[in-house]
Amino acid sequence: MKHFLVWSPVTVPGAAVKYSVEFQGEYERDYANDSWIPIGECTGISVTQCDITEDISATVPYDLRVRAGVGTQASHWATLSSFFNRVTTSLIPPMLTVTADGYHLLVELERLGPAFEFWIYYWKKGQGHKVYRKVVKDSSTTLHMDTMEAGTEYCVKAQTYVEAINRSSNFSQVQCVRAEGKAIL
Amino acid sequence: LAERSPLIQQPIFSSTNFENIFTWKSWGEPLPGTVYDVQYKKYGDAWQNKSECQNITRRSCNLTLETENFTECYYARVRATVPNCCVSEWAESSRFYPRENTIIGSPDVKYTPSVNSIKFYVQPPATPLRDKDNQILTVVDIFSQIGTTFEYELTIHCQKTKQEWVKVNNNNEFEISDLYPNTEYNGTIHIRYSDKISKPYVFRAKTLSDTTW
Amino acid sequence: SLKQLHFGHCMVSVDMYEMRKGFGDIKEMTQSQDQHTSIRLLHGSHSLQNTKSEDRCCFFHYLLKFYLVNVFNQCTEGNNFHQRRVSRIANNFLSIKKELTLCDTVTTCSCGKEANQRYEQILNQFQRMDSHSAAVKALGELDILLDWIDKT
Repeated sequence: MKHFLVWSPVTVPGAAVKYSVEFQGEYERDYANDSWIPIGECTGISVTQCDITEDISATVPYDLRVRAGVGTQASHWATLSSFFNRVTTSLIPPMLTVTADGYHLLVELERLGPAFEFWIYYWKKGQGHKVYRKVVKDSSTTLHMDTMEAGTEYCVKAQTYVEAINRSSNFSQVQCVRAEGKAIL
Repeated sequence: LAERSPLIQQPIFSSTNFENIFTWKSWGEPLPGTVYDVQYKKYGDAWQNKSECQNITRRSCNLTLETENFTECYYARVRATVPNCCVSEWAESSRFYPRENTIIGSPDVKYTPSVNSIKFYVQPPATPLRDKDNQILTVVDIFSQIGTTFEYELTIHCQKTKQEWVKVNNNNEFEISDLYPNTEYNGTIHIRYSDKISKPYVFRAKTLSDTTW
Repeated sequence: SLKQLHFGHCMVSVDMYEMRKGFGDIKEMTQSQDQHTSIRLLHGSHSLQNTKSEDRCCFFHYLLKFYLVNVFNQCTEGNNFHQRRVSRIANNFLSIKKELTLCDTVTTCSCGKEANQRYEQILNQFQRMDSHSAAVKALGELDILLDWIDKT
């Protein structure tokens, strides 16, 4: 889950415009006098986007605001038109690399961070009715799925699941590989 | 005895496999005759003297028994005394959680290569702690008691195909089959528990030659 | 990393990963500020998991409100990093409390004698200290509370 705040640039001829971003969770509204918290990494920046993933870390509505500054002058805050809740995030299918090492079916996954689980489905080509599933947590290595029958082709697809928001992505493309040796007919 | 600037640095617990040793360093070369007194406590309680670590010259104290409840949190502190001179301030550890702060050593592993497979038997590291029947507890016994999930993670590298992959196993006996005969495989075995991982056991094994042809 | 707590017929999910990560980043600094290590608010003997099951929902509700009202807003000074980590924990507490409040309609969170007694002891100890030191101590004991939740 990656969340970014983006905004359109402000141009002031001959001046370097800097932007600063602040966030406010429901806690700050309800219990901390409507306070705002600056995002250190997005204070006095010149790009027009800010990675807010680390701060949008609860499943509650957040408000965000940004303002432009030139020297000591600062614009009014521009605030979201409606609160942002991370349950609305969209999950894209994971990138997957399937290989065979002799009789071993291997899968390499992209690293998406600890909030993600990968649901990996694999089956013998032509036997789509018998699908095996493995749930894998955050991983950055090539994982052993299973031992394959000689000369047989196996197919794999995967989707991600984020428990915190109880949502999953669509499936990745199906990829098939063949085990070494001759198939026993 | 006049008090002087602290003679002690880095009072910390260093813990491996739930053996909890309180250690500290001296600020510069200790003055002749310097001795140390150690106290400990469970967080929220009063300080207690560690009797075996009073007037000691070494700079470590084994507090394993005093901190054996691995779900609790503890503090230790030490003070230096230089005879006919001075006494230092107490130097206190940070809050110590055996369960979170202990380092898990590498497991002991027996492995048996065959023609097309290698069989592994993983023995988790022992701890100094014992159960009600005075049996030694391993780190896995302790994880099980506190409900921590753990796995045995094998990383294996095939010299022939140069491929490396990871296999996660739930019990400590497992076999990797369908390997090439007469081929060298090397790799590591870790115990992985919640978000932590043990030190690795490093292995190098060769499958037997296939003499059936 | 999502812990499901069952209170009667309803269930509350707690994102343990977010809270442990958030607290883990400020734990050492927070606990080192606690100078009163002979005082403890969350005692093992009065833990959530050792509370009678019918009182657990209410006791848990008390604890959430205690942290939201008395603790987090006292710990917002310090650097930006510390502020953001306290916000992360606080907003997760609020998310749990909202679910627990929904729970109340499904399964009444009955507040028996045990829940009240335990909470009163925590509050009395907290109020015997100066407010800032008490808040720092309570924040420093979050891992004890997270352990309680894990074991419940």
